[in-house]
Amino acid sequence: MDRRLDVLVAGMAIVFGLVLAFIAQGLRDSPTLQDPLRSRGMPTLLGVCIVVGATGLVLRRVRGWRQQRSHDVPPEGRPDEEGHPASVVRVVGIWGALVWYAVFLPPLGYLVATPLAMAACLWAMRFRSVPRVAMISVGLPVAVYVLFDVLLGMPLPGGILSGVLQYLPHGIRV
Amino acid sequence: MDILGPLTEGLKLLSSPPVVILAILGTCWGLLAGALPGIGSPVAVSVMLPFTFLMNSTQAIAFLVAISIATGYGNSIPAVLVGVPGTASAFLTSIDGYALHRRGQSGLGLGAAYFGTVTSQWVGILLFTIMVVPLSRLPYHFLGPELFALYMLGLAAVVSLTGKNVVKGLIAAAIGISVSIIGRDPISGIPRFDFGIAGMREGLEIVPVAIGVIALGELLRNMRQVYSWGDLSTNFSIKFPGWKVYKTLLPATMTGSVIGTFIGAIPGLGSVPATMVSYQQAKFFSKKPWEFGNGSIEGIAANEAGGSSANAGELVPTLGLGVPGSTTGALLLGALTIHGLVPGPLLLQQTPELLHAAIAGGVAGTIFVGLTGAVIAKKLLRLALMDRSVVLVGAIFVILVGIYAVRRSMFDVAALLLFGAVGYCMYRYGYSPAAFALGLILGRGIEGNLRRGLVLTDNDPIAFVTRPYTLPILLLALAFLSWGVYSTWKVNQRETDHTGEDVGEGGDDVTVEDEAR
Repeated sequence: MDRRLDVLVAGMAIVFGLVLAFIAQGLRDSPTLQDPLRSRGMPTLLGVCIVVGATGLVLRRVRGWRQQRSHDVPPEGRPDEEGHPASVVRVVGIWGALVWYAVFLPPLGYLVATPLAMAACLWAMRFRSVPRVAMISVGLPVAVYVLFDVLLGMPLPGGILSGVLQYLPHGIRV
Repeated sequence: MDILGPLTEGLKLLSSPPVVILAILGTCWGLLAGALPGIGSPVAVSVMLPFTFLMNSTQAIAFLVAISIATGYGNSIPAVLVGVPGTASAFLTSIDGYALHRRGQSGLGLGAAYFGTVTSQWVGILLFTIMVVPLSRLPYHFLGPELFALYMLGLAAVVSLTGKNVVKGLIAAAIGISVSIIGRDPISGIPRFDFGIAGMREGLEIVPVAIGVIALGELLRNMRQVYSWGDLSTNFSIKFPGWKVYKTLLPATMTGSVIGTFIGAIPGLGSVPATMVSYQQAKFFSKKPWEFGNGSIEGIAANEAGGSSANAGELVPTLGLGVPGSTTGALLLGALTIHGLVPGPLLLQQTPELLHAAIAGGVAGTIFVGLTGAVIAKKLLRLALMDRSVVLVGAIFVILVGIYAVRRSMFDVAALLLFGAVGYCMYRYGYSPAAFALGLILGRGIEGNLRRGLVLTDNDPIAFVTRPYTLPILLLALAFLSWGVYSTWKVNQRETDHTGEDVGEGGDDVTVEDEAR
């Protein structure tokens, strides 16, 4: 684990705690029914606890920063498998593809957006066989669409294919 | 103490065809998912969780319990035949099982895992019922202060879920509580932290947030690396042993089952320490201790018994107190929110049918695994050899569509993705997602009952420790917290002393999992 990233994550927790406590100060209460904690009590307490705890984590790393040359520290989270290169860029890319998917799902529709996003994710996972990528990224969404929309009646966004998909049954009731 | 009542009611539920069908479907999915690379019990449950929207709460619990039961046996198949444990709790099974497989005794290894799983499930279900019934009757006359104390007792369990770094775990729990208080103030009803977004006015839905952190975070973490379990031959025969062999496994299995259920019932400890202790006990009492680590069927049976019965034990705090006993428990409680139920200490008092459903799901799942486990083992191996990338990508998209389908809400999908990224960071940097989920589920109850309790006692905080039930419960919570901090510190200390050696005790799932992989 890289100690710089560890400090960065703890720093983000500090920011979160500060924002939480700050926003809490502006919370309104009922004019008639009040308790000593008020609306702001719990978030303020949580914010302070998070800030104190995360500051402790930062100080733990900063102390003796110069004495230790390497930025590698013993992992506290789940480390990677040994012998397989890891890429955070891949994860960011896949997450980006998922955000794109969430944005374009309603306008494009499930059966258009899902194969595109799935193919991108498979490609990012170094799945390079074009026929298999095509088969999986079309086959799975179609199967899921049939299960959710056609059989179970849980409507999925039709998007640009709405005109065609309206002729399919939506939910088969037994 | 009426134990037979809930057991009978649970068995009666098995006469309902929808419950039986769903429990069987859940078991099938659990077996398949357990054998798939990269899919543990939390992801297996997450993928199916949105489908529970179509069921009532009883059917949903039976379905989800059956999934978690079957995943354990599914995990043991690649552990024995490939030498790769699907989850950390199958680590010791993989050592002994794979040693047997290499000696051409795959059937013996799988048979021991099968016997351990099925037998321990029966013991686990029985002990679960015995333990949960008194718990479900505790909070009858409780008001705000007592409920607050009970919620604090539940929150104290967070210390067992923190992983290596207690401070990080506590921060994760605090963030979970912070997320839970988004929405209407429990006293005034005025929206808080909604930033003017309509979807946040009533608070965030627990399911997308919990699945985002627990399942999507784990899947994204898995996607850092590209590898598969490789090209393995399936050209071998599997012949399960007979009763003569199973009889020799009975002591190790029964001991493992009892140990597993009790350890599983302690929130946060879960199946990994249960398997470790069961395995050690079996080795201690075995006539052939030298075989342990080199292909011991007693070791496999004890390990599987410990892990499987821990699943049943985990349901004790989950349903009895509304405190998730594990990550899967957190998801189980999340599923109940889909049906409008509020997880908390009054869960079973208000909805006793959930206990019957858990028993029914457990019994149906165990029977189904018992009937089919031996037959489908080799077929499931083919799943274990599937391309890991396809499994991971497929799981993500099924979760995405499932979350969307529950409320047809793109806001829930956005929450899932946002908390998936949060979960990824948590897994990577040691902020326990399970602790986050615990805070998320209990947060509202803690604040609501504390403040309602203060109003009830005329703003007298002293009343919170002077009422008859509150002081013992709060002291118990404090003891639990202190013990958890001490044991985590002790484990870390021991690990520091023996650099390079994994300890694998005290709920430190990270260490064990690292070694397991």
